[in-house]
Amino acid sequence: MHTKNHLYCMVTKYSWLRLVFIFFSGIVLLFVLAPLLRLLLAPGLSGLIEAALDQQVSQSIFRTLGIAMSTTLVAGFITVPFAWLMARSRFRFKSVINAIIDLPVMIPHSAAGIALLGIINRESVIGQWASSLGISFIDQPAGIAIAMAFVSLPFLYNASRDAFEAQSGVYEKAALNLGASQWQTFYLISLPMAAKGILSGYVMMFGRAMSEFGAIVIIAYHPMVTPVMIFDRFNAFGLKSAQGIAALFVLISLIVFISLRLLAKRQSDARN
Amino acid sequence: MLEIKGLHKKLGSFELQAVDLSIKQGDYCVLLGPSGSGKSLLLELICGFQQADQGEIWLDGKNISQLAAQKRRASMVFQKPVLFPHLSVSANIAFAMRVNKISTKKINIQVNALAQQFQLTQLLNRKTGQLSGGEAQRVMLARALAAEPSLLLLDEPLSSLDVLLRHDLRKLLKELNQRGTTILHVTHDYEEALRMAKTIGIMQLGKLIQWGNPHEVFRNPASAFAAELSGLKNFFDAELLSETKNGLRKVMVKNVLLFTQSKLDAGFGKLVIDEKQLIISKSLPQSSAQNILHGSIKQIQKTPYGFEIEVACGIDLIAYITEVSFEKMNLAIGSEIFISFKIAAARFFTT
Repeated sequence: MHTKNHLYCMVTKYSWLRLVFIFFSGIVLLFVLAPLLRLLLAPGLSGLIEAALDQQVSQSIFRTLGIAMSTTLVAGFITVPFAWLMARSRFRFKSVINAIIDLPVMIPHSAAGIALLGIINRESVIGQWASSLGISFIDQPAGIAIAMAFVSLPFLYNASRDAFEAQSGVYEKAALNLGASQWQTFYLISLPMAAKGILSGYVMMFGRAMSEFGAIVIIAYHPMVTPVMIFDRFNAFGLKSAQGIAALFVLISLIVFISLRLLAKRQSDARN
Repeated sequence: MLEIKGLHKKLGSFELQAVDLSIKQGDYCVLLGPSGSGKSLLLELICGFQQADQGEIWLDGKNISQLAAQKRRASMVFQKPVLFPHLSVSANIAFAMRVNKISTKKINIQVNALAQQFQLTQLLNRKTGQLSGGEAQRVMLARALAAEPSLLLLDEPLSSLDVLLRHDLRKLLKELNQRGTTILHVTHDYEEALRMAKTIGIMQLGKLIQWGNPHEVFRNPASAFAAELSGLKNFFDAELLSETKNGLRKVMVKNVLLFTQSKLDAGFGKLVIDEKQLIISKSLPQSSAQNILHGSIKQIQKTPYGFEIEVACGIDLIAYITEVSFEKMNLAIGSEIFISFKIAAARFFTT
């Protein structure tokens, strides 16, 4: 395998194709990196510190991370079993259901927010039922969580389903055959075997949830999550003022994202 | 101990039809059939991975037809090793005990005992991905036995192994059986069936067409299909001697001395003589054949391509002859003939 790859590189090392493709790759990388680097460098260290010391900003960052984390955990708890069920089932409208789950990724997030608002507003059945239990969604953390879950859930669902589908059902048969109950089979075999894919799904979902703006801004402008606060500062005070908080949030996102990725990788490496 | 009554299952266009069989405690049964004959499906029905449409499965006097798979006590060893990749070898072996909430102390004792029996002691802490094919199958067996099953089901367990490893695993399976484990083994390999089986079953297109001891089944195939599947009809308990003559090994079948080529150590086993390579003549043949026997025709049967004749020549050999030759030689029951074959037509293997 190694020799083959090596050979492949030798053949294409100096070809035009390779040069052209390297050029394209550079453009793509630069396209992604340049604005982010500019953003991180623009406010300078002092700008970052200033943003970090702003109590409204730090509160909003903690709020964003906290709600995104709880949303990911709670939604994940019910999404992963659903993904398993879909991976193991064969029925006619399976692809339709899979497409439905993907919808939130496809539609504009502001439209997603409007759609959600339609069923959780105070006059709606769900809104009234929730308010009788003392729960309100509009301009509340619960509303933010719902918006986050709605747009980020497909990432976890797809990653988990792929992981379960990649795993042959024969392992589950083997576990049942050895006397494990269906529950034991799920949490001792299916879940740990799909852990790598599920963990990366969790990281994707969390990343998507904490960066959500469009759906949240419609349901809960306040209390402000950081993406909304960046927009708010930009509107009220202009680019410079928004840059500091945006840079800080991107930096924190990067740190969280990289650590979670490393953690997921280490967990799966430990297994293999 | 295993009793299957009128088992019926339709799966897509395939149909397993009215299978009846009964296996005694301590038996070693081999189900022989080509792929697609339904033998693996039968195992799945016994395990409870599939539910039968009709019929009953009784194990140890209990009707398990409706029982959940995890309660059936029939452990399956799959064709390819299905070891849990996220667990170590020892955790794999311990799995059945762990889910049954057996104490850690007991589990450790049992895992060590099984590891010793299957020569896995050095491998207990390994990841399963680091095992060779033979090691993995031994772990599969140890893990299956840790569940203390009433019946061990083997789905072509040797087919993914190379020749040397097959030999080792066959030995292990025989030992297990000798110690009392009842085994139902599925294969498409005639030789494997011959080596292992105390009882043999032949499956074709979802039907169990024959069931009995290997001699009955192979000598009297119930259909042309069974005859073809069983391949060779001339097989005998034999003893390979260490003596040689002109570089050829002597092999005794009953009181008949034959010659073969073999690098195996002297000992008991089976000798298979390919009926298609037997030459029949009225007088002593002058040919390169090293094995020449004299005897008389015991039975004659018409086949689509000529005649199948059974010759008593110290051993009973089955040979084929075309209609033309049959008439030219003027053969009848009782005719004295010579039967000769080259050493390559006689194959010895240990059992």
